Amino acid sequence: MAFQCDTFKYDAPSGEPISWFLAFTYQDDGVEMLGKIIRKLRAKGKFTNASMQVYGVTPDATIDIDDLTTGANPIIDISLDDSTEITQYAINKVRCRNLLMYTVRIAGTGTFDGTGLRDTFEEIAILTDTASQER
Amino acid sequence: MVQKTLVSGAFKPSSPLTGNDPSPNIFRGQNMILEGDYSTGVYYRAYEGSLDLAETIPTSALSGTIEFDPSTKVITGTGTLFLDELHIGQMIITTNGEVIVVGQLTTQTSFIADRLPWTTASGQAAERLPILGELNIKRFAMLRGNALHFDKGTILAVGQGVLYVNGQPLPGDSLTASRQVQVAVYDSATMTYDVQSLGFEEIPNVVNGDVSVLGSGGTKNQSLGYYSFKVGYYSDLTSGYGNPTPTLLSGGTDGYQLTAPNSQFVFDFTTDSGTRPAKATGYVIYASAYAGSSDISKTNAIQGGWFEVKRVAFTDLIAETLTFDYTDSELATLVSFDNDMPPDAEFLGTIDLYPFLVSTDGQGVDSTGRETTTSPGPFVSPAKPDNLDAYPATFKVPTGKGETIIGVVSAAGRFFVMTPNTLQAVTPTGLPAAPFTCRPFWRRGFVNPYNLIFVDDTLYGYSGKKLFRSTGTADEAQESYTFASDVEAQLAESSGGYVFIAHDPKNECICVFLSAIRQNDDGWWETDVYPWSLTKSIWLPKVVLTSTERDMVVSGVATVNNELCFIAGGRIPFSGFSPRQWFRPEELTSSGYGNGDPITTWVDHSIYATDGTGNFDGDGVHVTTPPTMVTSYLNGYPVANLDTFGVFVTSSFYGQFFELHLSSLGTSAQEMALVVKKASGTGVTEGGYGSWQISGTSQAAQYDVGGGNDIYDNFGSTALQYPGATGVDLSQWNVYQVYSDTNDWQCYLNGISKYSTASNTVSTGAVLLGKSLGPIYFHGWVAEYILWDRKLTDDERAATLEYLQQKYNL
Repeated sequence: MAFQCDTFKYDAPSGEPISWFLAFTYQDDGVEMLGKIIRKLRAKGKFTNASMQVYGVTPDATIDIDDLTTGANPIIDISLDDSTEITQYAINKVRCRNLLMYTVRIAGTGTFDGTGLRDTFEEIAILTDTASQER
Repeated sequence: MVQKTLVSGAFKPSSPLTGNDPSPNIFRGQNMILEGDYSTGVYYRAYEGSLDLAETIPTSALSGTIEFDPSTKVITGTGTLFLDELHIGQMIITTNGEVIVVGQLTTQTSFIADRLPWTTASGQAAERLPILGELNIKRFAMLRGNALHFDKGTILAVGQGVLYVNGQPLPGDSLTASRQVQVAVYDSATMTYDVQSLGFEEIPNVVNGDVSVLGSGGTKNQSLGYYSFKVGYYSDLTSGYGNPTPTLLSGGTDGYQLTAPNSQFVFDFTTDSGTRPAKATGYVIYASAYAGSSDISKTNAIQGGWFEVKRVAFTDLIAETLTFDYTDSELATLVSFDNDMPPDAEFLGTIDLYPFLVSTDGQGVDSTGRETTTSPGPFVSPAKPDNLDAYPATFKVPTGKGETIIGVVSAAGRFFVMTPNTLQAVTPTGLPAAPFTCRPFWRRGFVNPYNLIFVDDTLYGYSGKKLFRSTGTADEAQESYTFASDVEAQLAESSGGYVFIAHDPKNECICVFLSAIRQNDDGWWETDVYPWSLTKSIWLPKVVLTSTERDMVVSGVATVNNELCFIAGGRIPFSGFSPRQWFRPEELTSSGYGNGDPITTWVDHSIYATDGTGNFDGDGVHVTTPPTMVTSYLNGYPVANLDTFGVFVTSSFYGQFFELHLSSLGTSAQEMALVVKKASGTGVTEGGYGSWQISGTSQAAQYDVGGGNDIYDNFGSTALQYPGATGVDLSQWNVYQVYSDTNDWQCYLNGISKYSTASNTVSTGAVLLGKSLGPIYFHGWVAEYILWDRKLTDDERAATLEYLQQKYNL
């Protein structure tokens, strides 16, 4: 086995692909007993190879933090077109039902050589409904 | 319907899973850095990357091998010199990839690790990983310790390993740090450094009889009276000096008496000339004063004091003698006797460019020269203000309760020393006799020097799996760790020896590096970085330092020129050292061969892409295919089976082999490495196993002759070399290495030389693997084959062996 150590500058344009993601804290919208329905999502930002995912917690189910971390097994996975400037993306209609808690994860992989904009996250707008039936 | 907007919030991975977060924060995330004003609006942008500064810093191998398992933190060694070669907090990596930090050194063959090993292994070689630090506006790297920059470019260093500045050894004299402090003095004319260790252990070998009086020739009409002397060494490089000789008196009783005007003193240094320390430039002569009368001078000659009257370079001596006279007006500094040698130390510290040795006077070890006292230890040992070569024992101050110092951080006109149990502050007293004092500050223990930093009047430290900081300013002896509650669970995943804290001026963050926190999907170590935003007072998502091609074990961090830098590394893939041809099992798999499939092509992994072609000689009955693939045969890897049909009889002409298609090998040196196992021969008549016909002239090379584990080989040679009985069971997997150079041919089995000759002519010839003249054929398996069109260096050959043994667990 060979060994090698090198010096690096932290947070400097390297041209290497950087995989990033953000996953928000789980939400129950203050009504823990009722199911929530996610109907629409819209992202704003500058993205490369990006996707937006919805994770939910249904009754009698474990909360899989590993999946949220790795991006595996989302309820829904929406690809986002690459952009070169901050972009208001189109509304994505979805229908994720019976969620006692939910969260959104957005991820991308971009490179930065020192020119142009880096991948940037501004916000995600979501529209939800609350079901009247307890879950 | 309800609309909700998810915006860039704080990173709170230790949040509960209640769903009650009123304004959603970031629960999980990575490689995003927050920008903007947190009170009015912020956004996340991607981490730019880790820019490789193209400064490769070598690791350094430990002597011997080590053994460990996940049930204990005790690491044991065989043939190791842990007490000499390791330091507390030092990070090593083994050939199987275990990353170990030294927590406590116990013996030359045993130490206690900071965390439990993840794997079980024995016979592991280990490499020490270098650290990183700031040296004025440049980065320094070395194996351990630190370096400080002083005026005119002077550098002091203590620790271990070659000092690299911005990736390069010092120009001129390279500095290899040790426990003994060294100075590198910059020569502006040549822009190079002169390096020497500090302190004078020796005093000149000058005795009473080496001084005499010459009754004429003087020019100063020195007063007639009695005079005595002391002599010490000095260094032009440092302007420092050592302790002097005992008083030189005439006959050992009275001063040397001047009885005639313009008399002179004559010093004969002949006796000392053969024992002068290399670092000394010349002699300092201290003399007693006349002080007004012959009677007083007689008393002075006995009682002193003695004052520096002259420095004379060795090169200015005439026939090893010095002749001079003087007057009282020439007497300068009073002689001193506390110019003690610098003790062994782990670190350097400084206040106002006043250097200290840190972690000195610890318990000795059973090693030459360090049996009574060495580093690490509980003392801080200042230098004399006017003598860089002197570290008076009376100046040194211990930590409270004598705790061993494992790190040092300078801050706000003092410096803090870290021990396994406390943080203690070393501050000036203003008292010449005891210039410094050391007082307990925090009751928090540390493991490595990077566990603590000082930024903007605040100390940040990692201790006991928690991060804490001083409240208000570091002047207040209080600490708080509630600010790190949001990442509490994540920080607790690491251990102190693997934690490095640094300031990131670009993003105004305190960055907590958790080194070797996990291995990625490719099996390489990665490091997490948790940034605490100083401007926003929140945590940001972790940055993950990772690579698909190498380990990213961070072993040092430094903030230099307002840029945060780090040193990272560990294992890298075996490069092959530019082979001419390389057959690996990975290519068998990627080519789509399944178990039992004939290998028609073995794809060459080298840049030359000279693929091998599977072939066979048969009669249509006994052998009908080229070598075949056997999956998961050796440590999970597939191998090529050249004994598919088990047909093995003496004088048979059936066999499988590979054509190597190498016609361009020149007559310069060649070398080969092969992971190989011959068939046992059970059920068949033992006979000669053919081997290969690689470059050598056509002769009957055999890997096992007549079942006696003998070898005939004409690899790259015009002659058939006969290593004879190898004493190695060739029916087991072995690594066979062989090279052929002009009048230099040698072969090895598992790294042990089996035969060498100084009579050899390099040859090119047929290039076949598995078949040689006869024809006779190799019956067995080949896992990997590497061919070079040159002779490897010893290090390259050893690295190749290590790679193959590690890969196949041999």
